[in-house]
Amino acid sequence: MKRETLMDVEAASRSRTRAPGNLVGARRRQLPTRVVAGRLVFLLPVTVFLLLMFAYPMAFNFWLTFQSYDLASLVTGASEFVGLDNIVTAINDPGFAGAAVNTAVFTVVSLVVQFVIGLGLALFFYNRFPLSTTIRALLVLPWLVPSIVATTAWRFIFQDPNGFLNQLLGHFGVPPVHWLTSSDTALLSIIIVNIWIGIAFNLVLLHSGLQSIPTERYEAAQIDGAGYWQRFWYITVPALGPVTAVLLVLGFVYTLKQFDLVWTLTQGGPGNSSQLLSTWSYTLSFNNNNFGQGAAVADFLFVASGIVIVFYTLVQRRQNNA
Amino acid sequence: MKKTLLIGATIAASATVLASCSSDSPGEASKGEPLTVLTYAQNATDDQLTMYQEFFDGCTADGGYAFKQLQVPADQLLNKAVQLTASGDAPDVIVADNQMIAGLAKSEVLTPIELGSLDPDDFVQGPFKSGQYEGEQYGLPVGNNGEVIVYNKQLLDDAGLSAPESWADLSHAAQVLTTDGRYGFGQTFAAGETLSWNYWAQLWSAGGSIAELDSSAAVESAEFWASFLVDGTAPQASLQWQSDNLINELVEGRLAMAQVGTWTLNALLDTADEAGIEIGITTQVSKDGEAPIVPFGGEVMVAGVGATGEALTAVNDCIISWSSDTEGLAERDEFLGYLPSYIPAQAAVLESAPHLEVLAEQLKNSRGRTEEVGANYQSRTVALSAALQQIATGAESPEDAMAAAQSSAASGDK
Amino acid sequence: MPSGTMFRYGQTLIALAILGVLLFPLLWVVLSSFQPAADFYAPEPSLIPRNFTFDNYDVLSSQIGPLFTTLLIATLSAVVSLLVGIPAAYALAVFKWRWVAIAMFLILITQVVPTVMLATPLFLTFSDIGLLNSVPGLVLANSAAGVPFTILVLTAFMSGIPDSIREAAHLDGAGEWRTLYSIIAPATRSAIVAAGLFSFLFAWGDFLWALTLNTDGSITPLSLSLFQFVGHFQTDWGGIMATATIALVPAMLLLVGAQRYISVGLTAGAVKE
Repeated sequence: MKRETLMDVEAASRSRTRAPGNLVGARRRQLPTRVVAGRLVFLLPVTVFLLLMFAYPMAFNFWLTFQSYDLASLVTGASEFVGLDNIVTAINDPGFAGAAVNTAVFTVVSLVVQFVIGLGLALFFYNRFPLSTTIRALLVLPWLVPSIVATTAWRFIFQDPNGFLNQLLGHFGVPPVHWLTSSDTALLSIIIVNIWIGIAFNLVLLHSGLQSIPTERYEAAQIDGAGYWQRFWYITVPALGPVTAVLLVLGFVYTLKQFDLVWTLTQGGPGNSSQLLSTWSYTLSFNNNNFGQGAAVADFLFVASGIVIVFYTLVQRRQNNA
Repeated sequence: MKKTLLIGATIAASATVLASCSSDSPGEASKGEPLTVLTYAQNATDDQLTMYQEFFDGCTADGGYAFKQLQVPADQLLNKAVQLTASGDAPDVIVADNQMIAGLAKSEVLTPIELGSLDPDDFVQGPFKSGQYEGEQYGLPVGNNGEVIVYNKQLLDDAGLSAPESWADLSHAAQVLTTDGRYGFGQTFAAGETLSWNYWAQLWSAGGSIAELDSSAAVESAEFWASFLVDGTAPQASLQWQSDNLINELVEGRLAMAQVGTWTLNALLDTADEAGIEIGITTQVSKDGEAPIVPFGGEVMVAGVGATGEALTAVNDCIISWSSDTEGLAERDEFLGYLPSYIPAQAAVLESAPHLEVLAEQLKNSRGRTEEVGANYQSRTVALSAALQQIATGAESPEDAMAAAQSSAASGDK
Repeated sequence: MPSGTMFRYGQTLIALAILGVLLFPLLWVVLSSFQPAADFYAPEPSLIPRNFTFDNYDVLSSQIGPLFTTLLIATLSAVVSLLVGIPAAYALAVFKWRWVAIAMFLILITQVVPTVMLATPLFLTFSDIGLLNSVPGLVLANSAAGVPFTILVLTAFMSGIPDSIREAAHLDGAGEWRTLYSIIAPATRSAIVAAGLFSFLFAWGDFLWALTLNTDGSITPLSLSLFQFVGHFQTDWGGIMATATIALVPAMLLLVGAQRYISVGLTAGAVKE
């Protein structure tokens, strides 16, 4: 993900802000306005783009949260300020609590399992062996393919009652499971697909994290008589700390946003049992045309992941400044 | 495969239609911009497109207007019509599923029409009223379809059963006919309108209303409708099934009875015939076996706010002529797989499509889906189908699921 | 050491097994796209097609439009992402501005925004200004993933280039744009290619925008076309599998042809929903 990016940004900003009165700082003050203006042009496109595609829609969404906006408003342009009505109604809707719990389960289970499997594979691929690079590269495929292709494949595997998975389980005497059509297993099925997609990602990052640990440290530990598990606990685990933090934070943010998988596999069903906040928000806006309530639910998602990323950045800064 | 070709053909056809409209053919006098017809492209074939085009070309030949079609996926028609209107390109005619009319009218997308010499009493009342909203008539039904129960005749005969009429009949028959490798009864239990509309007849027959999803009648009927999945007399896979799955399972002998849409009957009867299976058709069931009150499918042709002045007159004429040209109506509806709701045209259709007899019988006792809740229908269907699925999968008790559905739906009311 | 070699080949075998299990779903899509439609309804679907056929690829005739549309949208999205992202990354990486950290944080925040939060506002806005059902509208929306990604990746790479190189170019009389164009861009070529490829893939795999910003069927990206196969009235598995196989192609091509850039993109700042 953004391992290096995040760290580099932090490092870069630190070195800049910590170097008062150096050559760079001195020269900046002397730059003529024309040069500064010329330099700002570099940021013009991105500023326009971010304002147009993020700032404005987000402001619009917050505005919608407090408006009685429906289909008719599209034609008449009229909507009223309704205060907290949309938020209150959205929270009180029986669908909300279920979707919130599902989202939490979906996110936490996906993250943990992806990470564990990814770490296991990264350790496995740590030693080079014939074809190791090629095979590791091919493992990224599930992550690269369009989500709709992934869900098409899994729809077929989960098919009720004679999909591949049920046939496989049948050989072990397990009766057919209604993967996507039972309220007990629909969310589980979606988590399985999400884990499948996310393994590659964890593998690649953890693998490069492992590669960056100097081998001398292992050698030194081995000379001191440390066994495999000791080396793992005292060298590998601490060294992977920063990568793990980035993986979990960004993984959290992306998993929270997940929409495609649910929409294409179950549309939140059966009976909302696999409804996530993202799909619930979309259903409210686009199936029920309750744009205000949909906006309110989307706000929750944004605030939840915003808190995590701000918290992470603050911790990161404190560690860097310590 | 068939569907694939069909989609390809549809795309190709709509391209030609659009092309032929945009290129001003010399010698054809038309008044300014062609009028827009927003049509429902759910499973329209290229033939159907052509049929609509020919109809519109024919009905306005005198007025000198040309029509161009704009095709929209069925479930997006309401939003699209509103958007077009909002952006100043309001459609002049809209051919929309009857449950969308209330929403369209409420969003101020429609214009009232004059009925002229047509007698309202010549129409089946349910469908006729589906062209109205708050006392105004915005259009007339194109034709109607509905859901009926089909069954494998041999299996019922062998078990000494007659066609089910009441809840008890259907439950009993489903129990008896379920064996290893065969389910007694099937229906599409996929979330959304498909599921909710195949349930409304049960709600109504128990004396309930769409406005009160938590009433005891609603709870009782929902429990009944989900009971087949709970008891295992209907396949759990039907939670994601489409009509073609039902047909396929019936013909393969893995399903004894099913509730299906009349638009699938042709295909069902053909394939069943090939497989040597005799299919019986009967009405939907009701709580105590009396004639059920059923919802109906099918589009309504309404006038859009895009049409004003002379153009509105032309549009109005077209809507009237759809029904008043009895012979043409029978032909067109037969072609669409519909039964005309204009009674004088029904006999001709029934003669060539006898499998629609049951539908004709059923429609006499029909109720529009938006009659009780108007434009608030949309959020009800979402909430209700979720509740039915919850009951069917045992996730919630019928009482809790329906109470939640009512509160969820009510929060969307305006 | 023969036993060591054995051990290494043993690892290869295990790795292949892992690969087989993890790629199995995709493999199945490809294989089953060659079996007759009727076999999909067989009570026991089989992995290896019992009857081999190209019939399902008849969908190509109807999917050529969606295929082309998606290709166009994805390519343009990559172009927009690079055009907007490269100068921005350059500015953030080399001009020693005091508020670079804040700017980077803002760009990072864009990654946090749930797409469903943008969906309604963009839908309503695009509906107002006539960008629904249009290629430019979809390109803009899809670039919302590509632009921040490009900036995050490229800023990291461009900060790594020593100031002396840039200063040397300035002494030769090159302006900032010229320096970017002739010195910095070539030096960070692989990162730029990676950013472009990923921006392309984001747009290629997009589903939510395709679903939301298309309302009249006039533009059908491949993902939407695939989704619509699972229709209200029937499910054409053969067509679905063939279309899915087609949709797999770019990712596979990139994996084979641009493996190096994929790892660059992944490790430097991979972002995907």
